[in-house]
Amino acid sequence: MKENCYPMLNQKMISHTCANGLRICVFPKPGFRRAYAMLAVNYGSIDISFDVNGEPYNSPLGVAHFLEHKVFEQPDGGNALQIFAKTGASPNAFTSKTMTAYHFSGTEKFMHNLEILLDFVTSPYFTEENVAKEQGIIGQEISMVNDRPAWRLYENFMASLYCNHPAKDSIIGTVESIGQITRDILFKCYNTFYVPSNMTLCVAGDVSAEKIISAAESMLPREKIILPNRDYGFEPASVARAYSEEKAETAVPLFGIGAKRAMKTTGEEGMRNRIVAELAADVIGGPSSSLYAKLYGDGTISADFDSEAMVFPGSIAMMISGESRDARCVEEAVRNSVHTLSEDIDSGYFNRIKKAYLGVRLRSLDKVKTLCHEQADAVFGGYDYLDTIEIINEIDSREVSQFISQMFREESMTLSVVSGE
Amino acid sequence: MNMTYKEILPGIKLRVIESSRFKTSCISVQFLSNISEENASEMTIVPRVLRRGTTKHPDMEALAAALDDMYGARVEPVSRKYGDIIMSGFICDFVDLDEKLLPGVVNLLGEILFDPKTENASFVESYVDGERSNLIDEIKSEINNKMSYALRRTIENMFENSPYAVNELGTEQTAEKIDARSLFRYYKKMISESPCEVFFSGNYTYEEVEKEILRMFRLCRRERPGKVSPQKAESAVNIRKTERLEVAQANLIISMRTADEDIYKSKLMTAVLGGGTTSKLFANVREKESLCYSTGAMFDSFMKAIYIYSGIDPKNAEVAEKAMLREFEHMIYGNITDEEIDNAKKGMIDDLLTTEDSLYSMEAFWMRAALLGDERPPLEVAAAIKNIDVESVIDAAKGFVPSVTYLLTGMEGANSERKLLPDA
Repeated sequence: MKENCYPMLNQKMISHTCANGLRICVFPKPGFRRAYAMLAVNYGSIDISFDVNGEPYNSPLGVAHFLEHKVFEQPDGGNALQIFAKTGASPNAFTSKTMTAYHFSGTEKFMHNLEILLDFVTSPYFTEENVAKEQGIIGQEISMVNDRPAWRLYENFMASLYCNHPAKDSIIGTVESIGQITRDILFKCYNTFYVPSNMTLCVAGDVSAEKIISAAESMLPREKIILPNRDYGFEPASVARAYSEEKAETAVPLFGIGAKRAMKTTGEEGMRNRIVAELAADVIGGPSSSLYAKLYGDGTISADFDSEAMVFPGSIAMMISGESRDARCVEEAVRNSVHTLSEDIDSGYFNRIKKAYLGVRLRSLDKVKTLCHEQADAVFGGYDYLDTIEIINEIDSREVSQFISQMFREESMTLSVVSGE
Repeated sequence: MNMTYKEILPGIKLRVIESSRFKTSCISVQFLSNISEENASEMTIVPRVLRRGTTKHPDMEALAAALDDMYGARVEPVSRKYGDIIMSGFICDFVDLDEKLLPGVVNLLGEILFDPKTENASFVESYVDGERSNLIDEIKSEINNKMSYALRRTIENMFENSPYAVNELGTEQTAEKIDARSLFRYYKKMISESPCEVFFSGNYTYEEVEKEILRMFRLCRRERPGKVSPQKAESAVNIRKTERLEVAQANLIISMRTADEDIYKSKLMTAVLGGGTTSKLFANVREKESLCYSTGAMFDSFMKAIYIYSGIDPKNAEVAEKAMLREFEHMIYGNITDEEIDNAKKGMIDDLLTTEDSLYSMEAFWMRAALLGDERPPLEVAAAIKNIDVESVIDAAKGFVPSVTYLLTGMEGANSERKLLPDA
């Protein structure tokens, strides 16, 4: 068990890696009534090509998300969600492109709830019948998200940006792809990825790290399983489509402008790349950027404007998105802005951006869910979240400037629009 | 955790919760008004226009730079509607790192509230124009989120011609009417006459906060404040509405109202019926019958109304409605297990207890409490919920009268126009 102190942040992290490879991270939060735990699996929608018993295997799209639904299922036909309810805890789960996570928060019987979490995630119960039933529920979820213009935009943007990297595919899959999912496929993917060496348990609250570690060590499988090779395909520097447009029920058209770049995203170098990318996103389109001030000031965009970096294995993408009736004008402004910023970033401006970025990170320490999610992400990237805060000050404007110039190359950029008719 | 609640100036109440648990502090300043067709757009747009610039920081870039310097402190315009009351102002948060930021943040907030950038003794016209067109777009965009759009349409149909039906954004027509001069007059009246609730939580003492807030309000001349109190409203009884849009998923909402004043009884009833994953709706309509991905029920304490909802395949609308009503009938007939009651109570109590773990949940809890006139802290409310028995829950269910059953569904036929087609 290791204790890391971050005096500047007034926060500790206690961590331990079990013999089976599971990494446990605990953030003590004295005085908090709520304790929060997240058991995350390094398995997301992009993990569709991997080795099974040494042979390459391709799974249908949407299995990670499908598994997330099914893992709650209990042999008696009930649902693990209901077991949590006895203590008033709020359990939930999510699947992203890179991760599946099961979590709960509660004010009482934390250890009891933690045992429920560890137990249900490690004891799958899939039958042909319950798989068929879930196809109906997820079919409705697909209809629901497809009715959201912002979701359509994100899907189109990713599909335009990436040619081969599975980040281009929908997290949830399609009605056709989930129709191909069977009990056997679920078990194959589950057995490959739901192993302790591919998971992390992150907890924040007024809790005992020793008890958590001993519960996890006694309840999870003992052996350390070697993880399979994963194949994300070869991704060229060029995009699949420089422009895409779709019609949907929306009052004001939505746009997404962005670019991608092959980069190391794990280890210390990966951690640094990630921070540089996030700072670059703020420098380009954050609330104090001249881009935002200009476009908002002249009414080209609304307050719904976002500039963000997204990290996938081997690739970082940036997306500047919002609402506008003139996406081409926004694109032009983004191009001008990245051109200027790739030559030089005003040092006063850059230092302010760094201060604000630090403020956002510090605030995240008060949000147990964000904190655990960030740490799970970091564990899968091979570093610790709180270390990212410590290195912010080392990064200078030249590094960010260079990053922007290499990210926004003509062939790596795309524009997606979703507009009403 | 220490709470003080005091009227510090006529019509200005300050609530301070001293807490050292957080790295963040939160300040919220909210002006209150009874909502009407006429004032909704104005109440919503005022803080947005104020956030565009002050005399000292004349545009958003200058304001953003000042905020960045305070470790990315945030001052966000908000407007919220509870029943027939609209609350409009700013929520701020900041982190103290190496210096105490409260005076700096309150200074900037005071500038934004009381010393806006003006031209010709009015708001800057281009700022008002920009915010007006954003507001109109936002009103038009409400259709993008189908579930909340369906809920809004349900409420409009329930409370026709009553302030309860007014959207806090107003309508395209009321927003169109806003101009810099009339809005400036409205703003002047709002800051001088509207009752105001100020909330603070963080690592400061009551005295430190009061001193700063009083200093801030010195920038504004206060008249005798008007009174704002919730009014009663009639609602439609037992009507059906169907509207069509080009959607893949249908949204069904069954609304009902009660005259029962004990809101926590009704809330518990709602939680048993559709409060989460152990509720009757989730367990039966979603899990057993696989009719939908989302289903549940919400209770609005101000409107005393329940909204039972689901997102479904359009062809299943009738089956789903029957299934949802069947679950509600189980409530009336008392087909409720001890376990269901227990789980619902635990979920509600857990929510209440954890209110104090988040500054924003505390802000929302206490702002609502101020309007409801219920000064019991979350722990006390939790204790009261623990004591509600099953008979009271059945009794609460029996008190509900069907109001509007609203269905938002797909077009009939293939080549229909993408337009709203109300039918009877």
